[in-house]
Amino acid sequence: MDLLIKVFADTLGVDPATLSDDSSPDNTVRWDSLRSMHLVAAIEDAFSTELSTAEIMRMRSIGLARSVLRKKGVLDI
Amino acid sequence: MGSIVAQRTFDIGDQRAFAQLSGDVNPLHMDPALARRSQTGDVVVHGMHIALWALDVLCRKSPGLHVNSFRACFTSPLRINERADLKIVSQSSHETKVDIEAAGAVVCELALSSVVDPLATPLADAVTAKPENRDKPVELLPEQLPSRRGAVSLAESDACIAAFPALCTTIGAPRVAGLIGTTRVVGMECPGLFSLYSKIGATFHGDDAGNRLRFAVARYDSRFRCARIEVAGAGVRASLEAFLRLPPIAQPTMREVAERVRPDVFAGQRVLIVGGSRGLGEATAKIIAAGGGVPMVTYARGRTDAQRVAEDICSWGAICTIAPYDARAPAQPQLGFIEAPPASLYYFATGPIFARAASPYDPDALHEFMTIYVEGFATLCATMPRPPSGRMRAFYPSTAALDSWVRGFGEYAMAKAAGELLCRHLERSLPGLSIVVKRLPRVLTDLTATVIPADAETAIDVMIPIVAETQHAL
Repeated sequence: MDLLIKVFADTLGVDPATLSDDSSPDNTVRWDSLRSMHLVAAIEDAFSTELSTAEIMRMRSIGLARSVLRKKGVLDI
Repeated sequence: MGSIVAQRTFDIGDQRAFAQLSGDVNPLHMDPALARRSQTGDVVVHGMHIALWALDVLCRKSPGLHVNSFRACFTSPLRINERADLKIVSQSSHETKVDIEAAGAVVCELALSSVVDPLATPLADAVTAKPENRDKPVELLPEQLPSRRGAVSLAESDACIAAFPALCTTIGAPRVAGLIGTTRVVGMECPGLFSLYSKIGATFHGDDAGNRLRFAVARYDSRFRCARIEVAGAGVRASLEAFLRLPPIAQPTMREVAERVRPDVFAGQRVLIVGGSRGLGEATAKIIAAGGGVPMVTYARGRTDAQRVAEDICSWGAICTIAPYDARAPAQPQLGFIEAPPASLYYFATGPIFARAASPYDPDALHEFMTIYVEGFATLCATMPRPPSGRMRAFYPSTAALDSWVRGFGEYAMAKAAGELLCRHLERSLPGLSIVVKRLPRVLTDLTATVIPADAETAIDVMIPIVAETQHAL
């Protein structure tokens, strides 16, 4: 399974099959502001990286999170 | 989603009882006047109270339940007198997951497991401090959190058994006391006054005698003002997550506002500011006063805040009066405080504006917003005494959420859209009335001060040009 999707599914407590790169807080019921913070922590742990506030603010969908991580040089995304 | 297995409404008496049991008397749970200055806008139920109620129900319904570890996430505040529904999400041989919902939105997710979580709490274990038993929560700065550690006293077993009998039978009263103690840690000690308890992962093992819970901050994330706190004691080891909320948003002082407003630009103009005890209303009152006008500030619940605004204005040398006014109640009987009719009106009456994004449409939320933003404004405009000229100018704050969809703001935006239409209708129906309507951006106020960073403008920057435009037409 796509590791990023798995991180989102585990943190949001939803079926990974319901998520895609288009998933965002606007179309994913459990993705609220508190979960956004938990997602940041989970992503940082899973990919051994640290995100700046500006990067966090850009991660408004799974696809945008993937883009941010690619730019940071995180492999296998 | 599972069916409802239990329901409960927590009232202020429940709040007081749990506060006495836990020692967590944080004003967010106890004091309506102070809680209104938080983002929730009202008194909210202790998250741990919700979780313990749910655990007690589950243990009562399943007497043989094995509970060796437990996780809870407090995803949204539950206000007092709001009904909570307990639903089973999933059950297996070793784990039960439940949601507690209010108005269809999850306020607490809870999972209890028969598996012992090998959670280590070395920092909390090393704490040797004696328990603090303060009667007011400590107020900490962000830089004080990373090194914060200490201990709290725990509730007596008899009191725990009386409150949560089935849970005490299942895991033992000392451990229930330990779980209760976590809310005291967060609400009173760490982060204390401006805390928000968001998450707990706990495991039960060992006897760990003693009537205290030790705590130590293991990690502090300054980006989110979020602390991970280890706790240990009474057979409980747990990792807590809590936020240091922003304190109430202070508006600039009169002296600071006066530096940005020409002294006589509003000379002699009497202005009624409904909802002027803080935020946009406070900023408006100071702008008017700085320009030589005379603001009359109303408040619904924030008398102390309104007095603070008036004192700041009066001590600077201007005039300001205050009066109670409830936008939900009929206008006419409340307007006796108006001695000389004002020439302009600013309407900032509001309740909490963040709704839970549970369903596409919440009729109760819309009704609440319509009562304040539409009915309240309409009746006030229709009944307010007019100055001798017969002309009155009003400012109606609408929202940029009408221009771009914002999750959780649907009913708020709907009511503001109706308010905009109302303004056009009122201008044609009430001779002499003209209304300035602006769609305001997100402004940093008590109600928008989220711990997750968000772009927001300041009330004073937003209101200076609006006040100039509104008063200019007089």
